[in-house]
Amino acid sequence: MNCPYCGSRLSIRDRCDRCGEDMTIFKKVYRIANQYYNIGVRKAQVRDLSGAVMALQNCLRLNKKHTDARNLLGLIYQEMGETVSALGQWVISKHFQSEDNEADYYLNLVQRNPSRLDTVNQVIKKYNSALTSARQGSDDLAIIQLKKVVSINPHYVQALQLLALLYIHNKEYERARKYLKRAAKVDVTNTTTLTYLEELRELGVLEDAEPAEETRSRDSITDRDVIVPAHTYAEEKPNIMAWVNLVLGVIIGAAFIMIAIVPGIRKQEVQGESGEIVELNEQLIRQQAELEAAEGEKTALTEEIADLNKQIKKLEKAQENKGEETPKKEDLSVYETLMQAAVAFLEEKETEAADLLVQVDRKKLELKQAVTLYGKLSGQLFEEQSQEAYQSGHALYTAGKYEDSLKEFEKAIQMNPDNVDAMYFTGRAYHRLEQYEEARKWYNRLIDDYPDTGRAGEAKGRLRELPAEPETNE
Amino acid sequence: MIDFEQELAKFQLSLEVDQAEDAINQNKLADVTDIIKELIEEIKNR
Repeated sequence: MNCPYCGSRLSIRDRCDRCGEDMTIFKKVYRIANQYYNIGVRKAQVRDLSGAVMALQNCLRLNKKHTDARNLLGLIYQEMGETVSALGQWVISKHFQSEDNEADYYLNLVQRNPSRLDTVNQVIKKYNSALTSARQGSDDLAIIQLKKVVSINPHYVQALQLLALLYIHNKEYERARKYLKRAAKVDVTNTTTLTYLEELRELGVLEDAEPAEETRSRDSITDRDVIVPAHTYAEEKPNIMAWVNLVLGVIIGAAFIMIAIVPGIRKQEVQGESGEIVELNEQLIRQQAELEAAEGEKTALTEEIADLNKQIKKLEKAQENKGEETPKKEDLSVYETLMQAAVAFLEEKETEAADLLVQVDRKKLELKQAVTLYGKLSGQLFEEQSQEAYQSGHALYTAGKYEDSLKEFEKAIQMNPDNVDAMYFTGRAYHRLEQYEEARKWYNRLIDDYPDTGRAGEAKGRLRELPAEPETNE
Repeated sequence: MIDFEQELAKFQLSLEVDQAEDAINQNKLADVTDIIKELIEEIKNR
């Protein structure tokens, strides 16, 4: 179960661990949805497809993101011959869960073969045409079209039912019964199928009444029936040579495949593998180029640091020569910290580099190269490290360590003053620590400076939860 | 006895493949969870 607000996984507690919203009602709804899903599964297992469809639709009305229910509903539609409805459900399922979803496999099965999809479309068009013909009174045309439809898609329940209805209308009850039996095998409790079967039962069309069926079929001979004259010809006994010929044919066919077709397939596989090798080589070349570019950047940064060091030494000498006081230790220390940050970055210790860089007051940097270096390092480090600091702070906040989390959030905001998540949770941490004035300050800052963000909306809600500001005595 | 015209009227045209996109777009995807969220939001805003 996932939180409907922030999407994080719910724990056994009644509140979401991430956003803190009350989940009691939602958990009840999800449990009922799961029960409907289980009912749908049991009904599908016994081929009660109509019942399964209703149960799964109820499940999705309660929880539209129930991927398993949606995928199963798609499968059931596919089984009943409603391919487009099935595709619709799988597409929506992928929309809600794009990774690790069975719907990918089902969609590939249907879509990977374009001619198959075209066949499906032709069947649907023929069915629609048959229905239109039936409504216009052209029963014979409709029957011909529907027989074609059910021969291509024998599980198309609606087509089987319509064909049976047309036969009942034309008083060809035996044929109607045959198609209704096929529909009942696909979906055992379909109401329409059962209603038509009941109608045939009332008309006396029974399964085991064979003499009556023969009479009835004689009475209802139509132009389409083929009449074979009865004779006393006895079927010949099974011919063993036919089987021998069959086996020989299979052996010859297998030999032909091994000689003519398999080498071709193997050649294609080898070509495919060669293609893969070429692609991997290209990837390797690309990665080498990227590595070289990164090395080049590293060298450039190292040169800048060396240059900067020289500049600092020159400055110190020049000022000594002039007889001025040596530059204040604090002014030099800001360059030292910058150097340390640059060295840590070159050693790929990004967190340490960011922590050092945050201590550098950009306004105190007078040398142009130092400012450039600061700009490059902050561009590379601050955004990512700000997010890391926020995540670290959020973990501490979730564990109830609010004061420790405040330090991480402060670091995140220093690195990226637009980090609205860090600002929001700073407010939340103060709120939890019952320091309501600080909390109010942070919520108001979010609302005033970032009014269009989601966090500003949440901050408005949290503001209402704060106790009223004490009135100032005049 | 079933009424042929009445039964025939119950049959609907099936969606073709090129109509699938429109059908998916028009699919109302609101569920009970969405309704509950709206109600809670309304109560909070009062």
